[in-house]
Amino acid sequence: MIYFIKFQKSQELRDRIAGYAIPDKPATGLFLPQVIMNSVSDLPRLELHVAPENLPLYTTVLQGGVLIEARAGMSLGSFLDALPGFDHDYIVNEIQTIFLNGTAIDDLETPLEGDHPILALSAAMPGLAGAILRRNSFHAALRTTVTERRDHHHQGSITITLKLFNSIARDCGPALLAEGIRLDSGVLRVFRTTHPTLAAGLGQIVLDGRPITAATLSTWLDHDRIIVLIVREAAND
Amino acid sequence: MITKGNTMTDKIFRVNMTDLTTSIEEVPAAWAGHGGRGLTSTIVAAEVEPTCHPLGPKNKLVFAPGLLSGTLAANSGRLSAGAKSPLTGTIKEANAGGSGAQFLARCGCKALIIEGQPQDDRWYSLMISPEGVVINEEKELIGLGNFAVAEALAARLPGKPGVITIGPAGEMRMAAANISVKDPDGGMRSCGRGGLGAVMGSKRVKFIAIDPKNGKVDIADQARFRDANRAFAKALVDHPVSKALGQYGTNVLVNIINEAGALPTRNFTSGQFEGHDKISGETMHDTIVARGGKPKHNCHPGCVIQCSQIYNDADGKKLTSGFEYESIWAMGADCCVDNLDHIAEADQIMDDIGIDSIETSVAMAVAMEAGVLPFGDGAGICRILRDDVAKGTALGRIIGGGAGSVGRAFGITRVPVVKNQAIPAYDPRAIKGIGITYATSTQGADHTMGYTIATNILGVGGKIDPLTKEGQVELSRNLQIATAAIDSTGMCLFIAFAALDDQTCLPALIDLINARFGTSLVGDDVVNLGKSILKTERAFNIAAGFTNVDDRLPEFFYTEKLPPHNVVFDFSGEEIDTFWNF
Repeated sequence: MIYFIKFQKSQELRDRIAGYAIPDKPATGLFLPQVIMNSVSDLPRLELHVAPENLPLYTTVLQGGVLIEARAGMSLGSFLDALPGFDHDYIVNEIQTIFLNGTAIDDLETPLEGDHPILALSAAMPGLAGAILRRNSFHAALRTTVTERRDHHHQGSITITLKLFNSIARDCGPALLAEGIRLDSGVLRVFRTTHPTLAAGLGQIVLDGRPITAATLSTWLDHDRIIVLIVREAAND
Repeated sequence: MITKGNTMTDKIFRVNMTDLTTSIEEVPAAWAGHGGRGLTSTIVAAEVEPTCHPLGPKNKLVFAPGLLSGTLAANSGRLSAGAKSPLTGTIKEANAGGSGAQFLARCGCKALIIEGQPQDDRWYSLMISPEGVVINEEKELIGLGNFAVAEALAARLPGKPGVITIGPAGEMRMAAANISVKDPDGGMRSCGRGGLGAVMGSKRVKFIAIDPKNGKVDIADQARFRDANRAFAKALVDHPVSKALGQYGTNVLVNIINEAGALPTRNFTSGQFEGHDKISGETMHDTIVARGGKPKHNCHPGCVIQCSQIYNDADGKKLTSGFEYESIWAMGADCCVDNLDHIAEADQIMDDIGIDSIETSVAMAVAMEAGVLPFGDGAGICRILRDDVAKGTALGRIIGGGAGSVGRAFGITRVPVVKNQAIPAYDPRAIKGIGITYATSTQGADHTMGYTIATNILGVGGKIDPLTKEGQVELSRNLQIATAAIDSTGMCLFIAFAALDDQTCLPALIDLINARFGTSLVGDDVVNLGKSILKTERAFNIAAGFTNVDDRLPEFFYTEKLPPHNVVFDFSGEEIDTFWNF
């Protein structure tokens, strides 16, 4: 039993990723027993080689959500622990605000289930609202309880949309970006419009192993599709 | 209550605008233990006829620095302004950063009371120093915006005086007009809510300049004060929320509140905004960095959290500062504007006009629902602010009258106000605890009235199961009691986060007050102070004609389900009324 809330965006994303089932064994990329980051081989693979000083700014793309496949029913804490850039102490101490399908979560043992769960992570937040939504908060009693629920089966794999906000994105984002993230191309498109100056610090752009120009990238991003994005420091090339 | 040790230099400065006289008075014993909101509300309750017209000669405008303002205590520079509100008709306190509180305290001014009303149409200014108040006729700056006033005074007056001013909105006595306080970098900090700028305009005072000269605040026990301040500042600086505020500002909340489905969008018809990532704190931070602005900046001297910022335009020129979550939400999600530059420009215009950026933006969203302009039209908002609100056209005066004013003018029923003050940035259907605060606040809907103060540490933690409605009302009540007490210290409310988690923080704050005045307050005294303030404010409102029926959210919060959670506010009137059982 988990909270079930319909989100318009999750429906759109669910439609777009239809057909991308978790493979028996990934062809490339990180493979962990329970979490698969970017392994679907037929997805377009975009690599951005960026100026080192700009790398932290790219972590803001994670606010739009990345797609991660995982075993249905695994706990939230185990899921996070399996991701690059996260460790147990950080999860327990720094990730102070967690939403699963828009509902504030206190328990790291909460299972990840459902058609397409959306998980969002944040540091401790200001204001009464921030305190109310904070994990195991004294003020949690002032939350609104969402009562609509649905049963889910604990089998197979599910695709989780993971959103990282504020310092969580800054701390954990570089490792995720280096490993490669799956995301809706629209997320990267919005990111480029809100971060126009980053284009100047962009080194090589590689699409499916072939260098492309920034203009080609813009045209290519006009189409909605699921892609794999890798962001690396240009200095490491 | 502070009962001894009040410094000899603390006086009441009184200005009578009817006969243009001033006086300096001893502090009455009943007022000695108050500062900030506690003092403004105590004075308004004592001296203002509750049924008076807020813009008439019987209303009084009171400024009060906090108990610790003017000292080196971290984050102690908030200035309270109080009066009967022309927006709500209730008692009102609004506070701001800037230099005003520190400078007034250093003048030995415990409170400045402006009463009466000129009998002709001349305008005046007040010059405050440790010697007292001088009233001057003002001609040159009438009609000008706040930034032009600050610039002109920098050239006209010697030194770097503090400046408290109203813009055209205050001069036109718009119910959403604010009072602006100049910060050390020339930005404007606003006593934003409740239309106190209109009260200042009704007194025909354009600006107040404050020159503390060599004035200093007396400290009864310097060594103890230093130790307490060190512990207090450390608790603030070390706290993770302080760090988040320093990096992203309060706008860090956009993504969080959106994720919770509590970000009021399109005039409170949804809890999520599709363009949230274009206006989020994370995006704003990156934009500021890319354009050479300052992501971290203090609104008053001595602030160690630095949640303010300087936001530049695309050409690298300063566009606005103090770019707060609630303003960005209101102009952004509530009006469906996903362009940060438009929101920043609107923020700057409102700072210049001197009008509350929450009230006016919510009013704009109601106007959008009425068809005055389309949702998402950020350029249109800026145009209406410049061409209508600033110039006082009929439309500008309707919008400048606040969200309720727009709803009445255009026959709109979805008007998010309590006691005619716009509900800010957290939809009470999705975070119901905040709804209790909105409903019961003595000052209309205000998210800062019941802050996340460490009620457990103060000894006002709830005794009833907090998961019951009765327990939730009790928790909201205790938050409001604690908040009222903190508002009296002159402290920024953001000290609350450290106070919540760090056991040393609140005791250090109480120690600071004791060291300043030579008192021996304990936590219970602080709680009693908060209770006393709330009861004083409530008594004023009842005498002004308010009843329990005014402690309600608008009807649509009970009947219209808020997507995506599809929830309504479900506290009955009887349940809300238990708030005042103390």
